[in-house]
Amino acid sequence: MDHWLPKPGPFFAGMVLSFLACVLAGRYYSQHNIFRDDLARFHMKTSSEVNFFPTPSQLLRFAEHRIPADRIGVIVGGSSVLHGIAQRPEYLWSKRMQDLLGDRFRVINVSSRGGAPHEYGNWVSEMLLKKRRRVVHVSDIFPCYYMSYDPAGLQIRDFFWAARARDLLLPDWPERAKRLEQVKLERAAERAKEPNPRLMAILDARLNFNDLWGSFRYLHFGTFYSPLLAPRLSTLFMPLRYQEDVEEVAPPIPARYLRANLRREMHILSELSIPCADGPLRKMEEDFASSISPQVRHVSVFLMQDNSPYFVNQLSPQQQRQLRENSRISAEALERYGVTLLQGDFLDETDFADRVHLTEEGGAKLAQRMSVLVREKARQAYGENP
Amino acid sequence: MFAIFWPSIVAGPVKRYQQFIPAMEEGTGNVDSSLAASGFLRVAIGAVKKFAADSCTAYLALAMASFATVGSSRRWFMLFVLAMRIYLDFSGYSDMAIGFGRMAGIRLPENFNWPYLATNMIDFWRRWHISLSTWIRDYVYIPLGGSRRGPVLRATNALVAFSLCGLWHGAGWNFVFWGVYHGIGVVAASAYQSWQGRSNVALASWISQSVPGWALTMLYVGIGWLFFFYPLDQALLMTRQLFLLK
Amino acid sequence: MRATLYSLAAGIAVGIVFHYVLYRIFLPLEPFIYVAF
Repeated sequence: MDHWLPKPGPFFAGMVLSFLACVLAGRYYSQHNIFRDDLARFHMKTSSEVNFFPTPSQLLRFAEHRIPADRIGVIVGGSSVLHGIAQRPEYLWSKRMQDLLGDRFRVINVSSRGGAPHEYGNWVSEMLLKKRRRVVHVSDIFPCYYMSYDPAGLQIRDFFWAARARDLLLPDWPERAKRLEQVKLERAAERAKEPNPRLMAILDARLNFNDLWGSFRYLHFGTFYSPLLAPRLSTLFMPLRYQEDVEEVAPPIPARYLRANLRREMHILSELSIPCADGPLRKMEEDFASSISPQVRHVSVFLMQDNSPYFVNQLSPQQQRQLRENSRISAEALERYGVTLLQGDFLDETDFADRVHLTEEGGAKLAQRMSVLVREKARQAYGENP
Repeated sequence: MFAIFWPSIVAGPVKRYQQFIPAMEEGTGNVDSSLAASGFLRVAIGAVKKFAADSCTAYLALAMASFATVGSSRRWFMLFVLAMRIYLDFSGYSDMAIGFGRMAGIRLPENFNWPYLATNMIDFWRRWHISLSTWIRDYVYIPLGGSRRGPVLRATNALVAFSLCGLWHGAGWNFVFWGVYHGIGVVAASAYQSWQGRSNVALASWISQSVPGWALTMLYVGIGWLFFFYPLDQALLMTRQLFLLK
Repeated sequence: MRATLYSLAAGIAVGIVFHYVLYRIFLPLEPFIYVAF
C-alpha cells in the first residue's frame, strides 16, 4: 500500500467528483422528509443522546410532510415534560391532543429532553411562519426563570445557526439581534472548546454534510456506534429508523414517589418557592423576548411547569403560597407579550410520574386543557373557519 | 541541479539542455502530485481507522462495565475490540500525520507495519510504533550496552528500555508495568530464538514464525493491553476472569 | 489502464470520506480521540 502512488489526474478527478456528488446527495436529502410516518416524537434513539441531531431542513420537511398546506400545524416543543417522559408513544399526550383537535389540525412533537422553551418547536414554527403556513406553537416554561440566555439555545446551538445560514428563520427582531451580539462577545472571551457552530453552519449550508450523513444514519446504516444503542452485534449499526421508542411507565403510587431522591426534590422546591423578585422576573422576560419572536408569541400557548402535589404538600404553607404566587406573576408578565399560559393546577398526585413529568393519565388531562387553548389560539390568529 | 549533470551532456549541450530541464521539471512535478495524491489517500485511510476506533471506544465504554458478569466468549470479544481500538486509533493518527506530510511533499517514516501479523514479540516491536521503538533502541538500549555485554545485561538493558517505553505513554505504574511486561516478552522471545538457533530444531523455528507463534504473540500482546488501559489490580482481575470457563 | 481505474476508484472513495469527515468533525460531541501518546 505504501509503495503504490496513485496517478494524480484520475485520483483528484475522482475525489472532486465524488465530493460534489455527496454535496448534491445531501441537498436531495434536505429537500425530502426522511422520518417514519409513525414517529410520535424524537425519542431517545433518534435524538442527541445517540448523537443524532435532526437538521433544520429535516425538521422543516418533516413538518411540511405531516402538515398539509390547508391544515393548521400544532408544533409542540420545549422540554421532557412535553416530550412525554413516562408516557408510551401510543398514549403520548400530544397524540391524544391530535384526536381531540380533529382533522383541521395536525400535531407534531419536536420537544427534547432538557429542551429550553424556544428549542425546536419555536424554530420549526418560525420556519413554517416564514413560509406563510398557519401554526400554533406549544411549549413549556418555568416560573421566574428562563432556561436559556442564548437565543441559539441551551444544549446544541448548531441547529439555530444552521437554520440561519440557510435563511430559514424569521428575520431578527431588535431583542434577538442585541442578545446575539452580547453572546458573541462573551463567547469570544471564553474560547469555547467545541467547534464553532457558525463556521459549521456556513460550511454545512453549502456542502450539506449534516443532511446527507444524518439521513444516511437514520435511513440506511448507523455509521458509528453510540453507547445507548443496544450492544448487540446485530443491531450495532442498525439504521435509526428501526430503533424503538421505548419509554417506561411510572410504577404505581407509593413506589413511584418512594424511588425519588426526596432531599434533592425538596431542595429544588424550596429554591423555586423563594419569592420572585423584580430583578429575576425582568431577566426572565428579557431572555424570553430575545428568544421567541413576536410572530411566534402571538400563536403560542405555554404550559407553566408545575410540581407534583406529593412534594409540594411537604413544603410549609407559606412556601406553597409563594410557589403559586411565583407562577401567577410569571404568567402575568408573559401574557403581556401575547402568549397564553396554562397553569398546571388541574393536575393531582396521580397525574405525575415524578416531581415534574406526567403519567399517561396526566398527559390525557393536559391534552384536554391544551386542545381547548390551541383551538382558541387558532381562532384568534386565523379566524373561525380558515 | 543541471550543473551536476552538465558534464554528462557536454557533447550536445543546447538542445539537450532544452530537453533536460523541462523533462526534469515535468518529472519532479509528476512525483510531487502523485505523492500528494497518496497523501490524501493516506489521510482518508487514517480517518476511516479513527472512525472505527471511535466506535470501538464507544462500545467498550458501556460493555467493559459488565466484564465480570458476561460470558467467557464475550470477554474475549471485548479484549479483541480493545486491541483493535488502540491499533486503529494510533495507526489512524499516524496515517493522517504521514498523509499530511506527503501532501506537503515530505515522506515521513512509517510507524506501523501490520503489527497484529507479528509471529513473535521481537517481530511485534519491529511493526508497532516503529518510531518510538527505534528511538528507544538508539538512545537507551544501545548506549546501555545493548546486546554486547552478555545475556544477563542484555536482558536488563531490554527491561530498562521497555520500562522507559512504557513510561513514555504516561506517568503511571500501569504503563511501567506494561513496558516491563513487553520487555519480558521480548527477552523471552530473544532467548527462544537463541536456543532455536543453537538447537537447530525445525519445529522450534516453525513455532516462532507461524500460526502458533502468532497466536501466542497475540495472546500476550492482547493481555498486555489490559495493563495499559486499566489500573494494575483491575487488569490482573480481568486477566483472571478471561481464563475462567464461565 | 488498470492504474488509472484504481486511481479513480481511490479518488472517489477519498472524496466520500472527506465529506463524511466534515460531518464527524462538526458533531457536537467530539468524535476524535486526541489522546496524547
